[in-house]
Amino acid sequence: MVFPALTFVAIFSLYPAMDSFFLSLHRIYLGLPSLGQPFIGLGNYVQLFQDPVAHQAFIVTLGFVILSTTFELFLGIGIALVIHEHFKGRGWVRAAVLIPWAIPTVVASQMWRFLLNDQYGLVNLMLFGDQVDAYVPWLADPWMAFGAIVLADVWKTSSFAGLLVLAGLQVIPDEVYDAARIDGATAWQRFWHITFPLLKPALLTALLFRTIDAFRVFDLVFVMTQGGPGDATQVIQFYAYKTLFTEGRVGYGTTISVTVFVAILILSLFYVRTVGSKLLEQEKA
Amino acid sequence: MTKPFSERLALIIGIAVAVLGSLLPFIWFVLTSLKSQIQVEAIPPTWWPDGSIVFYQSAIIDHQLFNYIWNSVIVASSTTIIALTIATPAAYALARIRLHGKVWILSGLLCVAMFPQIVIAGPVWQILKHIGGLNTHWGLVLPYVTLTLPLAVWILATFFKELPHELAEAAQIDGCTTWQALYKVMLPLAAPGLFTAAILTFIYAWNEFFFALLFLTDPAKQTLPVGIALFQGEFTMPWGEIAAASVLATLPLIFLVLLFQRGIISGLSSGAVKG
Amino acid sequence: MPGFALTHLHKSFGNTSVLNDISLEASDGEFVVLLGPSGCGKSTLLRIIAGLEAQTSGSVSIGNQTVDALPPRDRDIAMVFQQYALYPHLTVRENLAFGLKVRKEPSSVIEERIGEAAELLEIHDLLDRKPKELSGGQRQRVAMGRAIVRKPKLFLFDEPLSNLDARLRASMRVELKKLHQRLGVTMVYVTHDQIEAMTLGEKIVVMDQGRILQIGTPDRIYHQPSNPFVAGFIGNPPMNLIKGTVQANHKNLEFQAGDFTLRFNARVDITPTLGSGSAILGIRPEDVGLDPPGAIHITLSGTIDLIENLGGDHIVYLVAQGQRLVARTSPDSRRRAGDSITAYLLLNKLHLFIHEQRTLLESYK
Repeated sequence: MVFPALTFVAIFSLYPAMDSFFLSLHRIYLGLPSLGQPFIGLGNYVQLFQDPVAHQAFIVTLGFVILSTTFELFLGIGIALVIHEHFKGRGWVRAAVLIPWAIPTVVASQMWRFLLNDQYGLVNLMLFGDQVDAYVPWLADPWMAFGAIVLADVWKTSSFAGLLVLAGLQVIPDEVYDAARIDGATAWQRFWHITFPLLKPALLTALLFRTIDAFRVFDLVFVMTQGGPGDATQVIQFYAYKTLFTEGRVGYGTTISVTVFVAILILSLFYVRTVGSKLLEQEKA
Repeated sequence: MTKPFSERLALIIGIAVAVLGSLLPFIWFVLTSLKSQIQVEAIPPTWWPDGSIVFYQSAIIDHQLFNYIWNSVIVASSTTIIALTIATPAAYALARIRLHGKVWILSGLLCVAMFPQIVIAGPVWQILKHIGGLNTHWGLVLPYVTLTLPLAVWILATFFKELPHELAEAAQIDGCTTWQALYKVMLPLAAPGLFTAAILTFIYAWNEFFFALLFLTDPAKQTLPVGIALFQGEFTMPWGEIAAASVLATLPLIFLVLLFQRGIISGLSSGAVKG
Repeated sequence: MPGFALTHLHKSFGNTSVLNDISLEASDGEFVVLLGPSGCGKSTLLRIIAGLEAQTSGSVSIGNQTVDALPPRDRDIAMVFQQYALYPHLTVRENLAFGLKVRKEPSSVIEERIGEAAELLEIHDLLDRKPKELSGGQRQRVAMGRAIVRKPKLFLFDEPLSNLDARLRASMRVELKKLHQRLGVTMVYVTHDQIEAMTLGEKIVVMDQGRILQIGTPDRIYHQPSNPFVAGFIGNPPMNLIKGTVQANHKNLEFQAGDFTLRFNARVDITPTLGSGSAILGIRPEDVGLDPPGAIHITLSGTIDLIENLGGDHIVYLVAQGQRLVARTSPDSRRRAGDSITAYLLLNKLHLFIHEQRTLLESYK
């Protein structure tokens, strides 16, 4: 019964991943078939190690991952605390919070591109009103453009982080809070001494899910900045995409992607070991 | 126990910030889509639109928006149907049957869900080229099914696990084969889970951009996200049309979220925290 | 035709053996109760008979047919589960019909069978309800109805009454007994409740740690327990079991525990084989008297520790010659805790277990 599912996964995930690794050990230029596809061992990896553009891309990606996941986690906790409370119309609030998550990333990217537009954008309107001269071309500045990508990602996925935290909140029994109230704890003390420690597994899950996903950022960059200005927002997956599909440097492109993959795999293993191990224990029992 | 005023105030502020922060950017896009060309290009921008539907007409007629929508509908629905058909028995087996290496299969699926798209994109492109799947909808559906399987299996397995084991056994004693027990007894009971998995799969396929961009180069076959990302005007960015197309692309999703908020929330967290 | 037969069944999960050399036979129409504490393997045994679990080795036959290779649906059995396992999405009528529909019985037959079962169990009014609208007792009836309509060769019950309150349990017990008399079909009933076992069973199989400890009629199990476990498991309050040592020679057999010694005349043929070693002496509380009985007895002197008043009976806890004993006596309001008394043990009701086995004590005088 599991066989069809495993077949699909094997053909369209496992095999391609291994094939990529195989390709990354060769020098392949699609534009120059006459060169053949010589095996060069770890040559591509050596090249990657010395490639300043790749270094830049790694740094940009890492900055993006750290900044966006941090903000998303904090906002996620806030969102979760709010939508965990009981109040009238909570269903509507939950739905409203979910909408950024449901919107296609491409749409969200176009939307933020427009919101940050130097002439017609809402952000400039809200910051500077009628003072048209003060309007800032956000996406034309390297730092601002980077910030814009982070902002768009935070807007779009904080609610997802919020949902994961919410799931953690829901397993904390109400009685614990009642006991703490009777013991005289303030709201802040209840959060810091009860909610937060009990929430740690959920926070770790959210952190890892978001980290892994942020590593793979592509749509935002493709639509909002095309990696620019300069290489300011060129994240690693975008760099790999350009190398692979626009320049046709298959060997080197797959080398970049395999490196990303290995980084993510290490994170995934970390995830399975920490959070997943509890689940595995349950399975065995 | 009534809450102190400060806590209630904090909650109200929290709700306001969460709702406004989530909706305002998109509302601005909706407003933009209802403006006229002159209004869109006004500096400083105007808040209220005059309710023109020019951009919708232009997006639909000049930019063949319905064509993109139709492509997305086909790809997203077939992905959903195929993924669920394959995921259901797998989830049932993983949740119910004593299976060797089941722990490994589950954690393996979890890892597959984390693969960066780029690492499989090239070889999948090669496979599709071999079997003539480039620039076809079914060619795109194949990787989509693969990528949505892990989440669907997890959600369904969580649901199956919560159903009492005795029911499947009672069905077997009543004369059912394993398959009959699955679709006559367990499946109707797991309907909410099935539904949640279906919605999440649909949303994934509807929103996916990277593979669609790579595998569909023929504009007649492209899906909505590709269409919206590659939207080009002759001289300037056609913001009005982009906004109109974005609103149309997002409406079905907003509709799904409003209707099935509860299921979506439980489904999204089931893959992650139930454990 | 036999009802069912199990031959040398073994079952292990990995390295843990849960069933050990289980052999059992039941005649057609017999009511067999599998009794034992939780974890003794009785449920696993039932599930192996049902085909829900596969045995590691050994064989199961139902009627004249070996069913080892058959899936549950082909074994011609019906099962009532502990949690009832009614299909929540189907009405009572559909629940009853399910097994017949799956087997493609004609709808006239289905209607007729449902009618019969509904009448038998008095669930006519419930037929169009969903399980969640039923009370515990009603669910229980529907679960039985679902088994009855199938007219199987063998009924299996997995602790079916354990989720009911005490009063309902008692009345369902009576109904179950009537049902068995009416249908005359072989039934296997798993329980940890000795009262259910005693009242329902024609044959009781006492199990512990994956083994069968004794098979017998309720009377035999109660009056002639073949080992200390069975002796202690059946009966409430449980049998007094005094741990001690035994010395046997040609002349006599001597049981000693603390400063309490009991000497029996020897039976020449078997006594020497008993030798010496640890032994357990057992006597049921109702066979410990505080008033001199007519029958042959031995006496012990001691004091009362505590008296529990059950209304009809008194349960008296006492310490006699260093041994803690429990006596079930008729009420006597004069007795108080702390009183010195004489306890009378009926000699012919003593059970002596040597090497964990019952010894034929009747022979000693």
